[in-house]
Amino acid sequence: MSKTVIEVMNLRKYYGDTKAVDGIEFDLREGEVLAILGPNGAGKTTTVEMLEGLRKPDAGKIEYFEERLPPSSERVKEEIGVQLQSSSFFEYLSVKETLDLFRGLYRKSIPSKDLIKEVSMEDKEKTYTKNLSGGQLQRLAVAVALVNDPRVVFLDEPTTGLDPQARRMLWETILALKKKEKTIILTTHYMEEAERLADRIIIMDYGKIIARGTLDDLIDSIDAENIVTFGVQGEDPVPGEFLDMEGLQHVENREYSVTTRDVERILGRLFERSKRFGLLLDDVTIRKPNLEDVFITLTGRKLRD
Amino acid sequence: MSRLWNFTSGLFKSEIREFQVMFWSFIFPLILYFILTSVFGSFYESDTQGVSFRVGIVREENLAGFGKIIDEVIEGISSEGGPFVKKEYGSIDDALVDLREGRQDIVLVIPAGTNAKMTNALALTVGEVPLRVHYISGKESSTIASSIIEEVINEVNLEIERRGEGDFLDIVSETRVVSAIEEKPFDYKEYIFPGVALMMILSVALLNSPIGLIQYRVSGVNKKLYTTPLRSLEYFAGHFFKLIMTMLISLVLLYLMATFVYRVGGSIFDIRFILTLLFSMIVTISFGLMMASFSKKLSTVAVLGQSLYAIMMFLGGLYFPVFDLPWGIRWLVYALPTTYLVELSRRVMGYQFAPLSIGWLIAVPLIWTTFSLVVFAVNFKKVMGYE
Repeated sequence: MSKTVIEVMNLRKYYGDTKAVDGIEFDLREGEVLAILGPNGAGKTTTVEMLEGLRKPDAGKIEYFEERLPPSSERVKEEIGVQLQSSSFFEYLSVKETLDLFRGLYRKSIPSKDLIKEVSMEDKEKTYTKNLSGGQLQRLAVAVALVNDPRVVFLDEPTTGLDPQARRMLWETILALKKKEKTIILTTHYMEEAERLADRIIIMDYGKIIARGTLDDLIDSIDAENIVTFGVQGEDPVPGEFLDMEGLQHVENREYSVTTRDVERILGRLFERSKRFGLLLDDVTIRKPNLEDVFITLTGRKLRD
Repeated sequence: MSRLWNFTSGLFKSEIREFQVMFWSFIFPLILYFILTSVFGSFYESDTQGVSFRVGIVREENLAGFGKIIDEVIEGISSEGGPFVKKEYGSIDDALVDLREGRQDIVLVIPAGTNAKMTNALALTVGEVPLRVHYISGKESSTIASSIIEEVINEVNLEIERRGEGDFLDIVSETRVVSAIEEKPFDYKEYIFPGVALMMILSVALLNSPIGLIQYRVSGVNKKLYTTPLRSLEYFAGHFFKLIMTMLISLVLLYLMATFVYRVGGSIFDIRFILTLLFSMIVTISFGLMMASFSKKLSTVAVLGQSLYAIMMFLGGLYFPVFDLPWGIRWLVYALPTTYLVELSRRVMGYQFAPLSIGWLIAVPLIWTTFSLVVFAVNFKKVMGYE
């Protein structure tokens, strides 16, 4: 059994009447990749910012390592690496100078050249940060988060706003960290990212943890072997009686999904009803459930809503 | 220590590479020095025509009888168009304080027993009538005023001797040096040097510094730094040293120009002068920090910085004398730390323009520094903190 690196107990953060984080609890073990998944405003960033020592909780505790240190302790700051949701650096320092500056703030550090290679920015080594693209800035942010060879790495929506190629490149970097057995907390609203990178997943909504576990645990929890998705053409709005079906979720516009173990029965009912109400079904697909389905099942909303 | 140095050098490099910083901190002061010296250099050549000197009169006894002759002389020299503007004092102490603090150029004391001595001198032609003249050695206006008074007294003696057909009056001036400052001729290129130097220090302290602090906070650079082991004190020490380095480079350029282009003399290398510049850096940096602590937005700090920069520069007496301004504005002159800092630098050079003692010139900026740092410390977490 690996060591507990972070323990979070009954953590709360309120902004006026808004409960940004509302009594969450979890722990993180050495070498584990934990993804915190949730829509915008779910409380993911507030949670990690409390873990990083940037915000003080209104209640609850965060303890690091066996020594049970608070996030504000210098020892914790020496051992964590943080990539913030929006990255900003000194505009007139080059990539290498930026890494050198941050390396100088820690007792131990990785050579800048190695970090530049790790995030594939050799050709940008002498470029001022103000001249980097969004994707390059995110890669630099990840490199800066790694300058102190941290035990725990926080990656807050590292691929938001990146094009697919840049996103895959960053995933490779994160997978390389995973191989090095770094403990990683990753917040994201891309289910594919969480599915691909995380050992365990926490799903947050309105400041609470609404589900947790491995990918398989979470998918099993919605008790569905298959998801049937379909679109509806015809009468507007879609008649309520047509939609009165167990497990049916509204996806968007005139698109719906049903989670089921009995695909044949569901398809039969759908075609029978569409005929009865004079509606036309289109884009009918049958697939295995994913995290998005877990979220929709738990909240009735899409992750990106 | 290496962490602080590493952080400071990073901040410094990032800052001076910005064109605006480079221009306003390093290039503009040199251009301004050139313009001011070219335009006003010859305008301020020594020209004392039409200048009035200020004389403080202290009467240890009221003049009567033959003593009235001295009164007539005083009225004559202080009448409209005369070389003096007089002010009567009740005590010698008050008059000497004003003399030391530049509010008078000279103090003329009419000692007790002057009436009797005048009577003896004129009626009995015995004895002298001594008048005491207090002045400041080395201060141009004071020395000239002292010489004029002596000349006037000599003229009066000769006139009475001529009119009295041989009767002899011997009014003598007994000059006393109140304090001494190094004697030197007025040199505009030297006079304006502290003004330009302080303008440069102000531009770094009131513009670069608070704007930089707020920019780093707004852009998220500070947020990233807060996740590292860098302490708040180290952050501000780094910021402080970065500003000092920027100011020192700018000062070196200004010194080079003053020395090699304008041949400004040794007073700018006087250790006391250099210390006043360092003192000015600390005072203005504190002021800039206080300004930053009042501003949450970049636009606010930019407006505040530009406004205070202009006010401190023009009403602080950096480029021209400000003590003759109407009282509606003059109170601001007295409130600004730059008024005291630039006067302090010029006092070290041997000039005196403000009617203020050295004590005030040091105390007021020190009060501003303390006040600014306290306000900054109180507001720091509210404005500079992340939450």
